[in-house]
Amino acid sequence: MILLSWFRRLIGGAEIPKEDAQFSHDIDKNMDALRELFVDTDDFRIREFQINSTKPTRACVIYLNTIADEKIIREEIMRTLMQKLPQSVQELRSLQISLLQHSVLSSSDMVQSTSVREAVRNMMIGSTLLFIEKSDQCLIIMTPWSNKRAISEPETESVSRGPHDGFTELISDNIGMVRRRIKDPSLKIVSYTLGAKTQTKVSMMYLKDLALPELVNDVSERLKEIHTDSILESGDIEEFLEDDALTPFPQVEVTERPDKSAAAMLEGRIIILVDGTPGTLVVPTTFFQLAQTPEDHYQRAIFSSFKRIYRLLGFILATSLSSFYLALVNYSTHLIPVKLVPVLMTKRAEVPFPPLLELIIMQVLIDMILEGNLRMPAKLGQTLGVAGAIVIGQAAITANLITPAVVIVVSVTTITAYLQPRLSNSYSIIWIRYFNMLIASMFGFFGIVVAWMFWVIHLCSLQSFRTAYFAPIAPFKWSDWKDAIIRVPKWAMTKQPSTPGTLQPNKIPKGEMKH
Amino acid sequence: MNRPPHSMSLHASQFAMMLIGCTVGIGPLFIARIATVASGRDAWIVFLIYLAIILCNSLIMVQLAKRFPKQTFVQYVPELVGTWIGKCIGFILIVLGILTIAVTMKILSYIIATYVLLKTPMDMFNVIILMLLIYLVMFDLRVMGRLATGLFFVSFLFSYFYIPPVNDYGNVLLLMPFFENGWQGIWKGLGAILFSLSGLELFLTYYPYVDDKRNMRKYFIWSILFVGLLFEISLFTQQLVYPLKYLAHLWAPSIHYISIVEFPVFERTDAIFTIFWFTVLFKTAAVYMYHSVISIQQVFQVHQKRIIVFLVAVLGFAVTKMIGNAADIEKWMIYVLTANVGLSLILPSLLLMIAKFRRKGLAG
Repeated sequence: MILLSWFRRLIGGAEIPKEDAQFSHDIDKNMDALRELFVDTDDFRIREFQINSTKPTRACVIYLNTIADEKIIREEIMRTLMQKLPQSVQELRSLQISLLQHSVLSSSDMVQSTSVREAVRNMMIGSTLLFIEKSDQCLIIMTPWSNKRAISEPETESVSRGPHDGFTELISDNIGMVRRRIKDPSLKIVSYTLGAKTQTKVSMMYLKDLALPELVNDVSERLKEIHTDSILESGDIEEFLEDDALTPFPQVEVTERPDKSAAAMLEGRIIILVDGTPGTLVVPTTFFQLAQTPEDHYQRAIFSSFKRIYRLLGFILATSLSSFYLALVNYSTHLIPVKLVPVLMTKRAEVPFPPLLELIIMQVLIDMILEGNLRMPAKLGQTLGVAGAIVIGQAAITANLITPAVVIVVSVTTITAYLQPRLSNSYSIIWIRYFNMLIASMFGFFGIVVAWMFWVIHLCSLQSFRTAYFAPIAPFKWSDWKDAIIRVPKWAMTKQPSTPGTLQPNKIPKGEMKH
Repeated sequence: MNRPPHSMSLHASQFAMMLIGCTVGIGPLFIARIATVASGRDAWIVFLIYLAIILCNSLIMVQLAKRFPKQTFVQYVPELVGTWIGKCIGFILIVLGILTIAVTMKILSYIIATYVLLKTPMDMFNVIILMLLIYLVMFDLRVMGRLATGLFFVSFLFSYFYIPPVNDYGNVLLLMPFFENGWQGIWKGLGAILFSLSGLELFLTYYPYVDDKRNMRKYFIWSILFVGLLFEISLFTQQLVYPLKYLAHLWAPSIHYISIVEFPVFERTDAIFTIFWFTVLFKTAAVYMYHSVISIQQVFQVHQKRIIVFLVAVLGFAVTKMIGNAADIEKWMIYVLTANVGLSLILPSLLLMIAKFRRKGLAG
């Protein structure tokens, strides 16, 4: 009762006990304390039994049956202890937790603890607590149960050539998928438990002989400094990690592909896995790395280079075509080819809105349709697409609400925005596009140049984990051009990229290089 | 947010690109006319001689800067010539810096108002350019270095259009005869084109911030040669295209040149050159603005960068209001930029001698 009242005082409104709370020698007190802590918790289970030693000993297992594997508890813990114990144990006068851990139970992941906080924390992730009478220690046995889904290809990162597996929601499986690709003892995994309420496991993976120690320390420090109550997805820690949260450019790469994660680690980068989500963070990253796909490395260099140039061109078109159109129509009509002027201007004269408003209405509608499409079931989404295309594309032109040129401009910018391999890039593009449109509508080509100067300055100022975001253009790194805007054949890539830099600058150790 | 610490370090190559960016800005716009008025057909020879003088002077500047590797020009000048004279020189440099920002902005806004947006008031352009400059200068020097690197490739746009074989408008006879006015004409021309290589004197301000100082001399010389080559090509091709009397009456012959000559592949060269000149003139103003801010901080021992940046911006804007039409712009430009180069030609030699005589600095 003393312990119980102490718990009440200690806990107050909070659920997790303080760091220094310890278990009692009295098994009943321990059970009562935990029962009190987990009051109104339907999946809380206490199972009492007797250990079959010379002198039968009272014991109990405590767990949450929704996340602990009851089959393991039943067959590997209780059955082992209730059946006849080994002779050496039988001969002992009294049982101790350490004895059960080392001589009786066969589970590979067990730890003794007297700390209530540690025990409760482990229960929350599927562990089972084993108490025996007259012992103030409990044995924390890992017995997690998971309802994992089958490994499948990530929908947003599919490839025509290359592996088709993707991360799942289970962090241990995800670590395993990366480990299977890099069979090297220098692969290190450091785990943290983050989120006061969610107690989410977050693991940082890197190759010790490649990743720069200062980068590893930086990532580790930033992870340790995260103080939040919940981490349900990697996006929850992304904003804590990035250098500048108030920019449209993502400074952390997100992937669901194990091959991409492994490739990043082989360049000296670090991956951060979060339990409960397939979205894995890759740091540091640069502007040009965000426009690359794993397939770039699986296809032949010449095709990959073309694809990368397309994506870059797509980025320029997606961000600037609308503003270019506004500058042409509003200010620099002399730049429009002569034969196009009557066609363009006749249609424009029939539309009641100014070009900026016309473009914004159209663009906002398209963005809304896309956003709606993301949430809708596939069949409804198709209907929405068709309705949108007919209403906006055809009816709006017939009703003289918009010009055909605007439809073309908006369609091209929308398609090219989604040329980017990651959705987060496409969102950045939308942001940049509206900004450019606004400035171009006020100052024409001068506005476009000013807007782009602003973006270039901004890109030059950005850092991702102290790595220049706009590398290899600014700062200029010639050697990194081999795998940035273009990709040279693999045999020409003998050195590691200097962004973020590695402990081994050569890809193949010097002694093993073939000439 | 995990913003990185402030860094005031530059790579030698970044610094070289900063120098190229800020030197290429104004000179090529006017050099052909000013040099031709002073030296006639020998203008291209005059520039070659001027380049040789500047190269020799650059070696003196390097020697001087090497004696004070951790100090900027305004920091070590008082050690050499006394506190008050040193502070006065520092103050002059600050004033010249602000005047250069104003002149550069005025040229840029004048070009935009003349060729791009005819109805928008010029002050509007000045305000926009200043806002962008403030945004850039608020960051550390590393960002300036990166921007200079990133925009360096824009300089190549310029060189492409000035390669003589790409156009068939040129006539070699327009360059004949050589040495038409003798050495007198060349001497006169040298005085007139002093302004064109303004910007190189900033070497003395930025030297202490360069990480790899061992490569500094190499990069400095290469940047001067690169800029010299662009200027020479610009001067040479315009002399090939325009008759002498015609060239003498064009305000900015380079802009006229791109609007009359039809270049292969690209048709809308004026649009491309708007980008080019905006970029290089903006870089010029930015590099001078950073120089002014650093100098003010050091001369007046003030550390609040934000206030100084706004102060320089306001002063720069105020000066632009004093500059009037095209002729006024040219007059201001020649005075201010010639003073910049004049100081960089006279002061380093003088100060190096004082440093050696008084055994000041590292080599002393």
